[in-house]
Amino acid sequence: MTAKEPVLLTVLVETAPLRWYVAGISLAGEPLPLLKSAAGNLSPYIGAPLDDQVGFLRHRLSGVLQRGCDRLWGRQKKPCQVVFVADGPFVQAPPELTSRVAGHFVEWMNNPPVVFFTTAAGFAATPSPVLHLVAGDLDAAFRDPLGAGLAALCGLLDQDVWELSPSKPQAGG
Amino acid sequence: MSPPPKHPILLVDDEPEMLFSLQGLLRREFELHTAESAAAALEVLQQHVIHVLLTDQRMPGMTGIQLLRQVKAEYPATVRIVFTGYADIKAVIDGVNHVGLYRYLTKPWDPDELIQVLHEAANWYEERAARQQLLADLRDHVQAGELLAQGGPAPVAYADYVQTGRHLLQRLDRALATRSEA
Repeated sequence: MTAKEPVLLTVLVETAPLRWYVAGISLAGEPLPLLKSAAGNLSPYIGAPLDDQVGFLRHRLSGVLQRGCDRLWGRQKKPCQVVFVADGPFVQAPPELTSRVAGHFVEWMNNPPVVFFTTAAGFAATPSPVLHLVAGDLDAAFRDPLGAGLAALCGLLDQDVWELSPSKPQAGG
Repeated sequence: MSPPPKHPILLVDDEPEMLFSLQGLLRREFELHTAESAAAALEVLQQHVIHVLLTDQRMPGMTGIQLLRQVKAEYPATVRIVFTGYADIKAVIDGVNHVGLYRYLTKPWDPDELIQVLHEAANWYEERAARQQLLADLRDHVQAGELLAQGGPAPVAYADYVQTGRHLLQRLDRALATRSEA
């Protein structure tokens, strides 16, 4: 088993199109785009009771992390921190949905640890998104790489550098 | 020298992309079968001997634990592993109490650790199969001894019978040592 390069496994959630992106960010702040979903991939939570919304998003986003880990593994990299960044609270849902989902991941996963942020102004590359902590902690050593990598990723969101992940939104999991 | 045969493993998940991702991780080390539903998994089990079954818990129709209950009843030798994206405590309890789970994995797992767990599970399958074979051979040996004792037409010469007994004892010794190490 060879030593793998540690990276920040980063999931960006676009709450309006209900789409996600998963990427790596090296500890030097270099972005590594991996996968993105089609718009609507997260839509099955809408209209469900709160507990079911939480359950769906836990499950769907866990799968996103899994695929991210798998793709990193193929590139000899390994997550040392999971970072979620949503461009706002989950839409058409009770306000506590975002904090419930964030709290779940922070509580449920400790290796690697999880931190969950939202941004107030979407994923603009310039200036770099201002992050609001929802749950978890970020090691101080990771702040600069995250800032640099996130800005770079935001500039790549509309480019053809992401593998499109097919999904079955109606399956609920 | 040819490489050792790969252990057949069945992956069950209703998300094709998850199966694709797992196949990328595991195809070099295992003989992989996949199914997108519990029903499809049962069809695969009818057609192939599966050493380890790895299933998602949350699937439409039949959950992973429900599938594994059926697998335990119909294919008890298959080593059973479930994975899930979140803590469903009822499923964990069901799995431990009723399904004889080998492992309960949570997403995301470390791919290196997953591969290690699957190798351990496959080895466990082999050890159990070897113990079952040993038990069958011991039964045959006892039966042969009974025939010898009755003085009827002997299935083996007495010297061969004793020699076989010694070999069986050695195998039993190794099996017990393996079990205590585990």
